[in-house]
Amino acid sequence: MRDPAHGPVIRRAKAARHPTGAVRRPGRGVLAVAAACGTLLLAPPAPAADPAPAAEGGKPPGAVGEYGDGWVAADQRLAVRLAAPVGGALRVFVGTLDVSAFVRRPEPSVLVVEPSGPALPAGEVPLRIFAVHEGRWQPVAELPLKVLTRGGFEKASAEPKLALETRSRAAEGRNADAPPGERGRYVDLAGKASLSATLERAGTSAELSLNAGGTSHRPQALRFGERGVRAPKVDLEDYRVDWRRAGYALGLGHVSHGNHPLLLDGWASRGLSATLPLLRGLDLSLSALNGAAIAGSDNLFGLDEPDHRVLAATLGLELLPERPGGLRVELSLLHASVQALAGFDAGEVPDAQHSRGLGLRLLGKDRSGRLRVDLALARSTFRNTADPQLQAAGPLSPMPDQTRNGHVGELAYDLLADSTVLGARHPLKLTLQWRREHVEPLYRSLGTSLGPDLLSDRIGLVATVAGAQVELQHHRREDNLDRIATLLKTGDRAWELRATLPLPAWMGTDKPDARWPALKVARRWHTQRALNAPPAAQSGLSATHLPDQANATLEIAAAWTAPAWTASWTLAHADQDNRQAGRERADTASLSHRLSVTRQLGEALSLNGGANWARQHNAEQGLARHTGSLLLGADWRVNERWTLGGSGSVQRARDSQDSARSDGWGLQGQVARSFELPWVGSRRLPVQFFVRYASLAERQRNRTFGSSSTVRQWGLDTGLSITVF
Amino acid sequence: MGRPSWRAAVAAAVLLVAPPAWAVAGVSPFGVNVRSSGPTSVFLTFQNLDAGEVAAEAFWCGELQPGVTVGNESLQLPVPVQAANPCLPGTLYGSLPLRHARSRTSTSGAFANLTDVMTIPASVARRAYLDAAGIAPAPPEEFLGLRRVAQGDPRALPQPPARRANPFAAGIANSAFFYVRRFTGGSGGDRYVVVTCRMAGGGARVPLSLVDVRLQFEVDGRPVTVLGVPRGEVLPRASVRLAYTGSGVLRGRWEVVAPGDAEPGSDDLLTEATLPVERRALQRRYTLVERFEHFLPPSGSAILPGPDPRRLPATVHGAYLVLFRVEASDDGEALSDTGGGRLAQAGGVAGFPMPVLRYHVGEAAEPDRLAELGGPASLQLLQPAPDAALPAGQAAGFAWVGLARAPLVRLEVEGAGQPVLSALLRPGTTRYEAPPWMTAERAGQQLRWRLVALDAEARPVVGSAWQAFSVR
Repeated sequence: MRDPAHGPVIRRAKAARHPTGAVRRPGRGVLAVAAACGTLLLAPPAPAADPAPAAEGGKPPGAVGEYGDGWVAADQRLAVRLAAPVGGALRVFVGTLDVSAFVRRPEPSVLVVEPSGPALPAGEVPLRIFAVHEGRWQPVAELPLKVLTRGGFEKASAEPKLALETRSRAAEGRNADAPPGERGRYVDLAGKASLSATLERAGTSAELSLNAGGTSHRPQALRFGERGVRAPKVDLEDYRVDWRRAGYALGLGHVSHGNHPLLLDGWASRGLSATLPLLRGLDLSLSALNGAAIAGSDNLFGLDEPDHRVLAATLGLELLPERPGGLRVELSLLHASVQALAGFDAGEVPDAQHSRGLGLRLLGKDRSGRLRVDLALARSTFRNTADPQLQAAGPLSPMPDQTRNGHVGELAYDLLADSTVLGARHPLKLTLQWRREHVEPLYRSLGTSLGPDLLSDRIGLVATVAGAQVELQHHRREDNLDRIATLLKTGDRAWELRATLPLPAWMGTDKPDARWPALKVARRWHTQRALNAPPAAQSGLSATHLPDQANATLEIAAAWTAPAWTASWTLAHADQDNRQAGRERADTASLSHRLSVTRQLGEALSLNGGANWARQHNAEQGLARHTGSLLLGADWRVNERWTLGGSGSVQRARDSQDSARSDGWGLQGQVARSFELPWVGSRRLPVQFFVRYASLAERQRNRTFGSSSTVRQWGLDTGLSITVF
Repeated sequence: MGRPSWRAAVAAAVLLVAPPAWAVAGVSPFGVNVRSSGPTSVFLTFQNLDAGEVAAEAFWCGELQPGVTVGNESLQLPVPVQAANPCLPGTLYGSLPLRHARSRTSTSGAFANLTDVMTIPASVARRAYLDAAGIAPAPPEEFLGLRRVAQGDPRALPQPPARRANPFAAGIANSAFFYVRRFTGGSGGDRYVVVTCRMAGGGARVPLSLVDVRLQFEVDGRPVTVLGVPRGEVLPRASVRLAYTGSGVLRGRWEVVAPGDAEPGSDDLLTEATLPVERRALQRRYTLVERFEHFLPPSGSAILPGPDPRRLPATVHGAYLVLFRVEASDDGEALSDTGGGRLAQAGGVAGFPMPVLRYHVGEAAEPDRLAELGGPASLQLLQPAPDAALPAGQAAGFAWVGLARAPLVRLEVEGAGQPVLSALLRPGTTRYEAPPWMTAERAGQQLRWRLVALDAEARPVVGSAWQAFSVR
């Protein structure tokens, strides 16, 4: 049976789409014929039914999938009618899965894929057919195919994980100078659980991810640093729930919002976000997020504290709906209050703050894409709110609201696009970039890290040819925009040259030559100096306090990549020339080399090594300090059960006046054994047992302070890990 | 090793003149440039404490009593230790928050000192800026400047007290402000020590200090601080986003805390420069992953690469911590005299513990675990041979023996952890020819293959180990 919509003419596969609602299963007639034939014509090396070779040189003959263009069940038989009988053996792939062994060919121009047991891979994957004749593979057709999961979803997956562990310090030793061991020998229990699930059906999708962990020893608890002895031993690390349908989206948990560089720029925290398409080209996104990154289950939605929230809305309008991205305008609103709380796993100096702001952003590009514009304007009202820790010495007067503006503009134009000036084989692209940031003094918005009191211009030229990129940039910046007489005004000027050269591709003939490194070079000149001289009597700033400094840096990085080994070498040099009055000799220079090598010996053994050497020179003190380190490591997977690993390191630091020196070394090695425990039914639980020995020593001597110490410590640790699922 | 200057000489003279019986004698440095539009941290040493003398509160104020700076109007000399609060009433900017209190008792030769980290929050710098700019407070309910509260509104704020007259701009006051720490319990009673904070840009001539540190793994373009990885897998790249003041070399170590190691204590997570010199060697050491040295230009922010992910251990199950250990660097702006000419290097100071990266190594995913179960003894992968090099763009032949009784067999080929090709085969099959496109675009790459026996419902039952080959 054939699709009457197509008639007898058989089209190329890409065009051979059945209308929605077309027959989803091959006709019974075809299958009956196929079953009657019962001949496995496709499994290689079965001879072809038709000796005529596949089409050569021209377009593939094509085929029509008689399973329709809708979603098919995972175990559904798929019938495909070829445009013409094809000779040779046929090979059939669903995505990257070769299912040729499960294909029958009831007629020379019909083939049937019968999974019969193994399900087809779920998702939208192409069904590709090749004809193999005398060792040559000729494409016959490529058809779209959408396969449901076994549960009837277009996409469904659930991956729960639970691992339980014991870890213990079986023995340890230390000398008198070593930091005291607070616990001695111990045994801890710990666990880690996670769940990720995805469901997708009829245009609706839902995703869930969750991570949690626990430990019997409270100082190892997730939030011990934040809550101390009140930190729960079992805690929620993070979670996220996403729901999407027809452009609508809801997110709960750890989400992020905002793309305005001056108002709210990728604020990531726990809370709620939503995206709503309103009219054609018009969309609205809303979010209510916690004022800092948090963990734990006691503020599950992140919105428990009214004075620690970030509320935001962004209305976007595509002004050229026929050309999405051609011209888009976004209006953003922000209302935020935060307490002086550091975010989870963040090091910061938090403040209690309140800000409200309005932002406008315009993004556009011309029809060719050569001219690109990004303009962001913002107006924000900000004040610092009461922080009890700041008022320990007495009450503070409330801070006034300050309303200030800022704008950021970025323009890029491709002066040359695919230019053949260097030859047709190596098209040249040359782009001119300009970015201006102007942020008024006292401007502040909670959702961005861009600092206030800043005028910055950056202009650059970027050339791209044959995989290489060369970039030249000039940067000017100044602060104290209100020119307050008693405040220092600082000006920066910088030039930067960067080049990325893919030497392996250039030096290779038909493939990259691993003997040559991928090379990156960066050179930067930066000067910073005072643009005014505030009166010392009102600022405390004398001539020697005014900055006047020039820096020059050079970085060269080379990376070699071969199938079984990698290597890299990095050189960094920095020179600092102080020019301020009275400090002309306070110059410094630093030079460092870093080398890293890895070698893979088959699947079982991997070796790695690294070395680092650095020198810092202080011209004023006439002091040069040298530091160096050497590391070696190996992992050996002896067999499926046993794994051995170890590493060693040596560190050394000296200075030219022998005022301070340190030497240290470390060794650690472990052996791990994997096995299985019987579990419910026929299930077996993977278990890993390990023993690890670590030892380190460090000797430090400081003649300036008359101190010396020698630290030696070692520990023998064991652990058992059971993966429940 | 010291940097001779007349200010240091004056400071030393003040120290020598102050007898020990007068308790705390001074502070080094006695004046610093600080960022006018954000936070700054500075390492300080309060010198020569009396026995029993302890630090009490610390706070900032905008103005000192007129008599305190007599003869030192330009604030180029240390403000003498005071017996009473030297601040002008009504000019308080705030107290050093408890969350940033990092003071420690310390000894340097015969000196009993107190080291302190003055972490100036952005709100304190903002108050100083407002006063320096002479900005009158606005009613608090103004929104975006569109709505003004009528004059006489009871919520209108009081005007700040007048500051020292500025001869250059009418209505614009002085910019310097002061950090004051009170000491108590000494033989001379309460003592107040003053540090002058000079409002500057935050770059050159400001001590190198870290004011915002974010460590993260980059996973699918998202920042992640807690990560789960299957055993044997290389972790994603990590990076550290820094906001800082000053400029100079930031150096230190990436270390890893392995399962079983004692967890780092609160002092272990501080940067070395935050601690007194004699306590720095007592920070607990862990397994070294990599050393780093980065020059930070006076631009205020940087993104530094994390350790080489191939060096992070991932073969033993359990929870790991990656530590960002910052060593004290030789920054001329961050030197602190601890007495007797002994200068403590304090570049890289921070008023908060460094964040950590966490990752958990767990059991490998199901397909990887199969390899560990081992295939039946009779199963042998014959072709391509281990570490064979196959020509690119040509059909590749695979051959094996064994697995004759498995209901189904799946041949799997992967490269760089990603599936390249798989094939469902009927029982008894011992050969397979892969299409040329499997190797066509993979010249120079390392691939591996294996066989997995499936039951009648296509569930993996047993599998061979991976066997590597390359494409040339």
